Amino acid sequence: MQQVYGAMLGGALLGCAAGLVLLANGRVAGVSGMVSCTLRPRAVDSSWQITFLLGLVAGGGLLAWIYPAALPVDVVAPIQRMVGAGLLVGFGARLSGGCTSGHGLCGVGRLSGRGAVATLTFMTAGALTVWILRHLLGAL
Amino acid sequence: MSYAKHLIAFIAGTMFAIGLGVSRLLLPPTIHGFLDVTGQWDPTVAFVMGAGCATYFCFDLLARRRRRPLLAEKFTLPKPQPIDGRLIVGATLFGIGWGWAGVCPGPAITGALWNKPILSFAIAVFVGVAIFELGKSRFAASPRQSGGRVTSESAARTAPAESAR
Repeated sequence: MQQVYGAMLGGALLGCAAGLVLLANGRVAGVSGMVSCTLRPRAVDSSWQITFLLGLVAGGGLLAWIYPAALPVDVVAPIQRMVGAGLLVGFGARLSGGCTSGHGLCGVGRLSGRGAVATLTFMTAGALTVWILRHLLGAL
Repeated sequence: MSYAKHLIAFIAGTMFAIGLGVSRLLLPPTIHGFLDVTGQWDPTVAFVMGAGCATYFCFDLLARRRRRPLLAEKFTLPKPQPIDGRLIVGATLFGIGWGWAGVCPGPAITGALWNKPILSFAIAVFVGVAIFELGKSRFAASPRQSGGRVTSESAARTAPAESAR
């Protein structure tokens, strides 16, 4: 039960953070879109999106201080897997125009049909991947 | 150059990271547990998404009542676009990577400094995004135009889909 409250509190914080970006800066808070902003830093207009990413890193530092158990310090995974998965995630997010934050949180929160379809699609693909890797191949 | 926008972005980013931490979304086992629907299913991600979307929905209602955001001249939000092949293929590739590593971009950047595999994932995300940006015209120029509305779709491809609300 405690984990459910933690999940809902965390979700509310995510919603507030993304909502703040919407109300103040007038944009959807999509992390993969912000990553693409770092690749064209000339756009002064959206340079604050890079600052959001720095905020994420700073938040990681704050967690190390107040709630270190939340950090993925002891993740053990082959580097090839992490690099391959990261490439798929980065490329796929830009091709579909968003990731878990842009489509999942903001898209569904704004009742966007595209956001909902993308979210259902990546959840289905993710579930199939885990099923194949964990139950079929015994990896993961 | 608006310092206020940067300040808000920094606060929001930090808050976002804390939210990810509190809901245990920084830990790959939480993601794998959620996606493992035939095994020991962990519904945590569903609660996070439910509470997050409901909260964001309230902010969106507030935003819809405003002519302009607090710090910008106009709302720059994705306008409705048809559901096309790029959306489905992109989300599928994203989902495969998400399920494979148990990490997505926000948690990767938040946790990057604390774990080497997470750092390598985060760097690969930047590279994946860069590959897309470099080949953008090629991916966008695919002749697949199911669903019609060619003009709005191709316009949205050359310029990022944006509209004032």
